[in-house]
Amino acid sequence: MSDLEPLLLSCEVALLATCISSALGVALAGLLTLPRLWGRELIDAAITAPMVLPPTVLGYYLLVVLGRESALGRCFEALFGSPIVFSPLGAVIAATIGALPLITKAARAALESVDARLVGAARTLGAGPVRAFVSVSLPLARRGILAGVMLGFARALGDFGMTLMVAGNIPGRTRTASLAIYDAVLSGRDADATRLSLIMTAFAFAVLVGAGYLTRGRPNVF
Amino acid sequence: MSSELRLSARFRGERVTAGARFTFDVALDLGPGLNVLFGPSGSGKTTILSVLAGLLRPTEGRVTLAERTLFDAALGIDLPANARGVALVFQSLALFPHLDGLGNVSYGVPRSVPRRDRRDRALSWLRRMRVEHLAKRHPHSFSGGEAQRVALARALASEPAALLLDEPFSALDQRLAAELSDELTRHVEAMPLPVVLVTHDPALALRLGRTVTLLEAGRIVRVGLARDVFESG
Amino acid sequence: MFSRRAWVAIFLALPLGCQAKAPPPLRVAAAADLAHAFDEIQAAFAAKTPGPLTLTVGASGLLAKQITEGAPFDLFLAANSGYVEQVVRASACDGSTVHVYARGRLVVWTKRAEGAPQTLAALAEPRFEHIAIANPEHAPYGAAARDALNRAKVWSQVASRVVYGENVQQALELAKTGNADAAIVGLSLALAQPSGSWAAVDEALYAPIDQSLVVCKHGENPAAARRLAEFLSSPAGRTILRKYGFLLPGEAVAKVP
Repeated sequence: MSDLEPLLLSCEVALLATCISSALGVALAGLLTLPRLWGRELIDAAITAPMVLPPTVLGYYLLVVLGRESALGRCFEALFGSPIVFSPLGAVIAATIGALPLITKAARAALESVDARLVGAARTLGAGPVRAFVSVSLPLARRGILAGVMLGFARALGDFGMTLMVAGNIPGRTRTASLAIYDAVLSGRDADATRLSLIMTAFAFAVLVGAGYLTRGRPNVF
Repeated sequence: MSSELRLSARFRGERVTAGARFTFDVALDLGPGLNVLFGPSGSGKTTILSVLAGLLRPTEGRVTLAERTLFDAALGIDLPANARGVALVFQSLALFPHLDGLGNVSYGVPRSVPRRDRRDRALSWLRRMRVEHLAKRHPHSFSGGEAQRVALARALASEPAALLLDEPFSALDQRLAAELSDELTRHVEAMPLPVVLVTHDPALALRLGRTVTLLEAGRIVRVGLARDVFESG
Repeated sequence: MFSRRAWVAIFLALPLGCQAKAPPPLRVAAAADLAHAFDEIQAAFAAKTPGPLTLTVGASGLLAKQITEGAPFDLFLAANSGYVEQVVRASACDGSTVHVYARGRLVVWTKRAEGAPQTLAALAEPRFEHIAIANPEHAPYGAAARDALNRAKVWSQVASRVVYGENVQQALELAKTGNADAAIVGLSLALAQPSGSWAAVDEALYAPIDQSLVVCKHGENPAAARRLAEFLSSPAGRTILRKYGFLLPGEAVAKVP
């Protein structure tokens, strides 16, 4: 049984999902740090919701919103010839939703810890809100954001419930490593399940250790 | 001949800062040159500067610079801080820790200056402040006086129409403060813009300003010649 | 830095897009208990009809839902007939190809080499502290197990000791790991275990579980799917299915417990 295929697919899906959710997450975090924002905590709750909702609930919602019967699903299928669901894109969407809250939360915390006076100084020097955000807030929040991105990657890599419902467990197409492990257990192939699980654990561990190093303070630098 | 560059402000508002609640009622009319805003710690000097710079918005009032209206509550005008042309040097200096000296000063250089020339402009400001050796070094390695100069260079590089300085020399020893304040006076004399310098140090106020505006608990108490203000106060 | 990341993302995404080019395999969706049987079925089928074949096992209910949503499976082998009716009603599968491939048999399985309770009433004994069944809400074998316990008039005595697994596999796992003292599962699953012992549950105690299959429309290999369906009803196919515990009414178990 080829371990490589699901592992490679998991990596591709996780990388894409991390890229998308990083861009989205940092932008949302920037939005949440705006001084005058109506409904800030409501928006934050909406973004955090995927962390506390059961994956099957999320998977169900996704199936309803993106499935072939839905408006979005029909549009996509009309444009591209195949549905969003039960495709690698579905797996990417599921993984993105899983990673987004982690990245947004970490990015928001990191951005809020940037000295507001520095942003104020940038503004008085002629920088508009976007330029001040990109050239001052982001670089100073870089380490916290990066740690969040790594956590998001680990989460995207490990997604199961949502991916199973929305992308299906289709070998060679959407069977990620987590689904392959599930499959192995269901089929009684314990050795395969153990092997894949160990590889995934080692990988997640490496990612988390890396994130830990990044957030540790380094004395000489700001 | 163009009209004199005057910075005028008249505003009211409430603010809770450092545990004290202030009712502000401020009227300022400042001309080009050094204007000293004097008051004890906690009298609201920083708040006034923030309002002038556009970082704080009062509930009512008006701020004008030369012929431009920067803020007018009644008319709904509130120019964002980056559009006012008012440079503010914070008490903490607020130098960008992730940029070197050159990066910090270049940040202020107007975007209209082509990229290639921005570097040179920034360097010339560093030179004028006698800190060109800090171009490649980062703020965490600057001494108090050096940081002060870089912050000033950065503010001036933005070619502001008004310059605000919040307790600029409070962290420096007497000698250095005197030295820098003399330098500042020389630089300012060469520029036609209003400079507002906030301080709680009477010696500095006497040394620097001819006119002093006395501030107490958010209210302007007196405006007059430095000598007179301090002799009778 | 950003553009480098973007390139890496693009290069890695290319294989995702390229997958569609390879010839599509025959995709089979099956209830979990068919996993063991399928290795042999696939080998025998490939001898006559070569070609790539993939198997996805899972909860019949979830698979049915996914098939109605357009999941690209060619053949669906469910754990009962209700789910097959569901996909046919939704016009996702061809009703004319529906075929019962087995009638599910309930057994009680224990880890010990002997001493499997011969009747359900025996489960009321105190030595069975925990009895595992599949979740009756969505697992046909779980619902049948509960019905059988009810009709044997044992449910009230054992209800507090019943633990639920997500599916029959999980229920069996609970018994295998010793967390439950017995599990009520399907015959095919019990036959697949190298150790332990089992005893059949009286068929009169539960409604028949007719496991049916159907050829579906969203897959890419309907012709191959039909051939596989035919193979499964052929004598060769039936022999394999019987061996793994998938019996038709009237057939006897090939192995003795």
